[in-house]
Amino acid sequence: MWKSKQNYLSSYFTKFIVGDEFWKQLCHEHGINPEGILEEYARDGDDRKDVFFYQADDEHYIPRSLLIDLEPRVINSIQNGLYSNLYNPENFYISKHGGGAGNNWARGYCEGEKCQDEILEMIDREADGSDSLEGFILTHSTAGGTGSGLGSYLLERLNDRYPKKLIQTYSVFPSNDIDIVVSPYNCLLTLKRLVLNADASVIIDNNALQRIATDRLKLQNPTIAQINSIVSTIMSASTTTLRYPGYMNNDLMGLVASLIPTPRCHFLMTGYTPLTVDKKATSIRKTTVLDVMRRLLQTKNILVSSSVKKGKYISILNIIQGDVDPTQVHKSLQRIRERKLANFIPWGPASIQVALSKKSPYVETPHKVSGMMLANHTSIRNLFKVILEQYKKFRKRGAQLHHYKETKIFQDSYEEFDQSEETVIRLIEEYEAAENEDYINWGATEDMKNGGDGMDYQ
Amino acid sequence: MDVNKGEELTILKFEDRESRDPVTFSSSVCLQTPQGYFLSFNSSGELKVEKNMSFETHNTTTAKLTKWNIYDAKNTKSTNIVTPFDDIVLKSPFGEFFQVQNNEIIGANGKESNENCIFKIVKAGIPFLPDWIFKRPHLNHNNITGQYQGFLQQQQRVKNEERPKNLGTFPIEIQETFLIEDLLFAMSNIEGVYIKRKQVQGIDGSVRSEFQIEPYLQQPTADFSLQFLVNKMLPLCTNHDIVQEFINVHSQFEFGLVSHALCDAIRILMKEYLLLVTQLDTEFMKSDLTLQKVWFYIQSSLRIMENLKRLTQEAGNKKGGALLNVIYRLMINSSDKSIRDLFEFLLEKSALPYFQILKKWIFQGILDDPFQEFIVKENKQYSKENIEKDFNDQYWAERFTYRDEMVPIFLAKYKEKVMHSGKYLNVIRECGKDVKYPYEQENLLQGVLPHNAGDEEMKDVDAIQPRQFQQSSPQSQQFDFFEPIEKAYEWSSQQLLNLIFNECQLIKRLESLKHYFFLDRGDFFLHFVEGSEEILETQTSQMTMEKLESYLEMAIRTSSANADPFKDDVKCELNSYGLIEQLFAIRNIRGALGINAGISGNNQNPLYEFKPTAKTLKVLEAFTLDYTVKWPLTLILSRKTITKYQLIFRHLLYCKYVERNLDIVWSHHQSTKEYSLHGVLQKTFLLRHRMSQFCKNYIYYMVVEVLEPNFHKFKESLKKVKTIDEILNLHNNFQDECLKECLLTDQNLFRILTKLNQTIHFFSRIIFRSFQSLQSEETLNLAEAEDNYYGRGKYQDDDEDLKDSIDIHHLRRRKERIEKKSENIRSAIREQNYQRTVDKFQSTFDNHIKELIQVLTQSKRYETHIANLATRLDYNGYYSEKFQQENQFMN
Repeated sequence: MWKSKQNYLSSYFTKFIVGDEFWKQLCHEHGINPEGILEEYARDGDDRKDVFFYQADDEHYIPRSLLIDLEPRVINSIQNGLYSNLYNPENFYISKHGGGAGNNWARGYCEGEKCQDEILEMIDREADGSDSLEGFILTHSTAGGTGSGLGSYLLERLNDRYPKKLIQTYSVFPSNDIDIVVSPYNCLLTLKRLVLNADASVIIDNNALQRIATDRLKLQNPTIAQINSIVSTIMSASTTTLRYPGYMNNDLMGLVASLIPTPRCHFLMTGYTPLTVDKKATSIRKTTVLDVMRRLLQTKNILVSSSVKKGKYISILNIIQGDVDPTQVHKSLQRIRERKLANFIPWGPASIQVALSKKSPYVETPHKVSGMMLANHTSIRNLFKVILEQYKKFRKRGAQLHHYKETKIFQDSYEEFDQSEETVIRLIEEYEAAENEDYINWGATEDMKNGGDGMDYQ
Repeated sequence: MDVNKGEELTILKFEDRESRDPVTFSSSVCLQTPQGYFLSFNSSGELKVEKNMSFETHNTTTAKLTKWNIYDAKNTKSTNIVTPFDDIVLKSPFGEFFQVQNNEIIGANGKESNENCIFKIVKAGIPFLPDWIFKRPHLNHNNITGQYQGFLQQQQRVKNEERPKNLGTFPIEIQETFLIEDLLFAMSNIEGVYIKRKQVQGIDGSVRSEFQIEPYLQQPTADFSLQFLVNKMLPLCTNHDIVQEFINVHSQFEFGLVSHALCDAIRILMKEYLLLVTQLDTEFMKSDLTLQKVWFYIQSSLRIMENLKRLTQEAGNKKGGALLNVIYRLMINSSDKSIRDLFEFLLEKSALPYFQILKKWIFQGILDDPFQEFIVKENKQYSKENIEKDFNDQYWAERFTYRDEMVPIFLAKYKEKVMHSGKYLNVIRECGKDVKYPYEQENLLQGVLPHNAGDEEMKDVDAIQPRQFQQSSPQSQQFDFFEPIEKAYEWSSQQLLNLIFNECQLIKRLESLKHYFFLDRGDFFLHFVEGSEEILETQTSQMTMEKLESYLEMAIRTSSANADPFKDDVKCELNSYGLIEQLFAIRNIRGALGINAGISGNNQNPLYEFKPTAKTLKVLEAFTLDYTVKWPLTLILSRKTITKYQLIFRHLLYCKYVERNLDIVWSHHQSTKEYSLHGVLQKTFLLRHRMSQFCKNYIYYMVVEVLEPNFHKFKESLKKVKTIDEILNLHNNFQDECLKECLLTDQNLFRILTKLNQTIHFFSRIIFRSFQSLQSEETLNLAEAEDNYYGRGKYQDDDEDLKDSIDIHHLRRRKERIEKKSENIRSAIREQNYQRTVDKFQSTFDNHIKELIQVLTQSKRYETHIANLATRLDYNGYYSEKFQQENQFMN
C-alpha cells in the first residue's frame, strides 16, 4: 500500500549538541512531550508530525533520528537528560573503542569504515520504516574529527547506497580563532564531500553565531546552549513548510530545487529575524512583511560571516511565519526591488520567493511574525577561501601533517588532500563565475581546455 | 373536467408544450395531469391516461390519442382565446366528443355535440360555484350580474303587456307619492311600478341597465319638476345597482382575498345605506316624506355611492395588491375629507388579508397566497435540489420573484426588504427548521393593521383611520410600516446568517474548499501526484474512476487534509473538456447570452457540448475535483461557483504538476554532482533553472498574490456582512477576481501561459527520460559490484590488516568508477544529439517567455495584477535587459 511521502532521516554527530536541541524544538512545536506522547492540547492539530516522527505501537512519537558518536560523553548526557525516553534506544551509536577521532578527519573516516556495518544497518532499518523516504538530513560540524571524518564517510556511503535520495546537511563551520589546530585540514577534506555528495548544505558559520550572540543579542559569553538554541531555531524554521503544509515547498525537493541552479552550487546561507534567545524577550517591534524581508537581507541577521554586500544572490527563499497580512507581500517585493536591497545574478531570472507559513500554535513567542531566509549567495565562496588559504598555509609548512600520515588513507600519499583542494578551488571558481553574465559558458570552456577528459576535480 | 374528484388537468398546446401563449379555440391541445400523464382514449372510447411522451413522437398513433381539439360550445367557428368560465367541447381527431354519460361514466364516444359534451373551464384549486348562483336574480338584493342581461330583457318583455296608467294622468301629490314609493323600491334595487330598469347604451357602447321614470314610454308623463328631482336621485339607485353587482361578482373565489375583503367592507356600507332606506320608508309610512326631504336625506349617500361606483369602475377585475393600489390612489386623489375617509376605511379593510399574507411571509417565511395577490411570486419549477447539479441554476434569483403589478404603492419602498426577509426565512424553513419570530407579531403590525378587524361601526373606524394611512401618504416619509418590516428584515437576515455561519460553518467550508481547490496544503497535492503519477499521464479512456477515486482518498487520508471534517465531500471527476476548451466554452456562451445569462461549461448540459475532445485528453488534463454541497449552502456554493473553483483548481494542478516534474529533473541533475559534467550540461542546468524560476514565480504569484490575499480579504469582509445576498456578491466577486488575476479570463495571456507550461512539461519529460537511460545499467552494476566488495569485507571483520588495505582500495575504486561513469555519460550525451534538443527547447522557451513578458509589459499599466506578475517574472530585470540587447542587435 502506498503511504505518506517525505520522511527525513536525520543522523547527526553530537560534538555539537544541535541535534538534541533541534528535536526539542520540534517536540515543542508539535506539542509532543519529552516522553514522546502527544499533549492533550495538540490532539487536533493538522500539522504533519509524521514527517520527522513515527509512531510506535503504543502511540509514542519517536524521532526518525540516529545519534552517532565515536565517544560516549555527549550521547550519555542525552541519555541521561530530560528527553532520553524520546529516542529509540537502538538509534544511539557509540563506537566500541570510545576513543573519539582525536580531531582528525582521517581517523574519523577510517573509524567510519570500521563501524559502517552497524551504522548502515541502523540507517537501513530506519529507512525501511519510513513509508516513503525522500532524503537524509545530516547535522555535523566540520572542524573536529567525528563530524567531518565519519560524516564524510557516511555522505559517500549514503550517496552510493541511496542514489535517488536527497541529502541535506547542516554543516557547522568553525570560527577563525581556531581552538582545533587542524581544523583547516578537516574542513577542506569535508568540504570535498559536501560538494560532491550532498545535495544541499546549509552553512552555519560559527563566526557569525558568535557575532550575533555578542552584537545582536548582547551576550558577552554566550553559552553553548544559547548558541544551540539559535541553530535549532533556524533548523526548525527551515523545515516549517514541510511540517505545516502550505501552498508551496512542501517537500525537500520543492524547497531547495529552485535555490540551486547547478548541482555543486548548493551551499545555502540562512538568515533569521527576530533573533532572540530568551523566550520572554520584550522587544516587541512592529513587524510587517516588508520589515521582515528587509531585515532578512541585512548581513547582521545572516548566519554566515562573509558579507552579502559583495557578491550576488543566485536565489532567495523567504519563509515568513506567523500572522501577516498576505496582501502586503507584493508591495514589499516591489519596495525591495526599487531600493535595490538585493543584488541578483545577471545570467538568469532571480527573485525573492516568499512562502507564508503557519506558526506552531503551541509555542509562545514574544513576536507575532518571524522570518527565515534561505539564500544561495556567491559570497559564500569567501568562507571557503578562508579555509583554503589557511589550509594552504598549513600545508606549506607541513604542519601537523604527521597525524594524517599515520592513517591508512594518507600513508601512501597526500593525494586526497590535493583532490580536496582542487574540488574546493573549482567550487570557488564556479561561485565566482556565477557572478558574471557568461556563467552559461563556464563549464564549456573548461571542458575544451581539459580536452573533455573529465578529470577536472583532481 | 371532473372537478368533484379533485382532478386537475393542464391544457397544453399540442405542438409546443413549452409554450405559455394563450390557447385559442379550434386549436389542438392535450390534457396533462399533475403527475405528467396525458389524457387519452382507446378505440372503444374509454378514457385512460398515457405516460408522458415527448413532442417528437406526437405523430405516432398513441400520441394521437392524446390529442384533442377544443371548441367553443356556443360557436364552433370561434377562434377566440379560451378564458375561464367558457363552455367548451372537446373533440378527438377522430371526430368523437368527450362526454359524460348518465352523469357517471366519462368517455370519448359522443357522436355528436350535445349537452353531455359541454364542459366549463374552471380554474383548478378554486371551489366550484354552480351556475344557479349567477342565474337567480333575487338571491342577492335583486341583482343580476351582467352575464345574464339577456335573462333580464326577457323579463321586461313580459311586463310590457300589463303597463300601468301613465303618471301624468294623476294629480301632482299622487304622482309624488307614487314616485317616492317607487324610488324607495329602486333604492333597494327593486323595480317599482313607474320606475323601472331600462337598457341604456353607454358611451363606450356597452349596455347597462339604468333606473328611469316610465322607461316604457316614449316620453315620461310625470310632472316635469317632480321628474327633474327624481332624475337627480335616480343615479343613487343605478350606482347602488352597479355596486351590488360588483359585490356579487367579486365575492367569487377567484377574485382573491383582497377583493373579498373589499366586498365585505362595501357590504357594511350597503347595510348603512339600507338602514337609511328603511328609515325613509318609515317616514314615508308616516306620510311625512316629501321628495325634497328625500333629496335632503340622501345627500351623503349619493356622494358615497357615486364614489363607490367610481371605485368599482376603476377596480375592474383587478385583485390583490393592484386592487389596493386602486383604492389607495382614489384615496389620495380625493380632496373631500369624507370621501377620503371612505376610501381609507375601505383600504383598511381590504388590506387586512394582504397584511395577513405579508405577516406570514416576513415573520415565518411561508408564502400563503392562494390567489396570487402578493408582491412575491413563487416559481416552483426552480427546486433546491437542482442547484447542486445545474450550472445555470437560478434558484436564488428566480425562485421568488416580484409580482410587480401586485405591489401596493405604500409598500413599494419596502419591496426588497419584504422579499428578502421572507426569502431568508424560507431558506431556513426549507432546511426543515421551524421559524419562530421572537417579537410579538401582532403588536408589531398594530401600527399597520386596524385594531378592530370585526364588525365595528364605521364611525369607530373613522377615528383610527387618519393615523394609519394618512401617514403613509407621500407627504410624510416616516410611517409605521418602517419599523416592523425593518425589524423583521434584520431579524431574518440574522437568522439566515446564523444558520449559514454557525450551523453550516460557511467559513470552515470555504477553508476546506480552499484546501482542495486552491491546494493550500501542498502535501495533499504531493501525495496525490506521487501516487497517481503514472495514471495522470494516461488517456482518460484507459482510466477507471474507481482507481482515481482510491488514489484521491489515499491522498486525503495520508495528508494533512485528513484533519478536515468535510473531507468526505470531496470527489473526483473527469471533465470531457480540457481547461482551454472549457474556458473557451464559458466565454463564448457568456458572450452570446450576456454575462448574467447562464453559462455551461459542464458536460452535464448537452446543449453546449460542441467540442467532444474527451478522446484525446490525458487524465491530468481532464481531472478535476468535485465537492458535494448540501442545502442551504448550495445557495452560496452552487454548481456555478464550484465550477469556477474547478477552473482554478485545474489550472493550478497543471502548473504544480509541471513544477514538480521540473523538480524531479532537478533531482536527477543533482545526482550528477559527483561527475564532472557541468561542461556539457551547464546549458541544461541553466535552462532548467530559468524554467523553474518561471514556474515557481508564476505559482507563487497565483497563491501568494492572488488566491491568498483575495481569500483573506473575502474572509475579512465576510465578518461584516448583514445578509446572504452580500455573501453571494462577495463570493462572486472573490471568484471572479481570482479567475481574472490568475489570467484565466485573458484568452491571449492564457494561451501563451499554456504554451509555456507545455514546453516545460515536455522538456522535463524528455530530459527525464534521457537521464534515466544514462544512469541505468552499467553504472548501477558498478555500484553493485562495489557493494559486494564491501559485503566481502564483512567476513574479515577482525582482520585489521586486510581491512586497512581495503580502505585505500575503496577510495581508488570509487574514484575510478565515477570517472568511468562521467566519461560514459559524457559520450552518451554527445552521441545523443542532446545539445540540439536542449537548444531547441531553449529557443522555444525563450520565444514564449518573450511573448509573455511583452504582453505583460504592454498591458501592465492598465491592470495592477499584471504589473505584479511582470515584476515577479522579471524581478532582477534579466529578461528586459536580454530583450533590449536582442532588439539592439536586431537593429
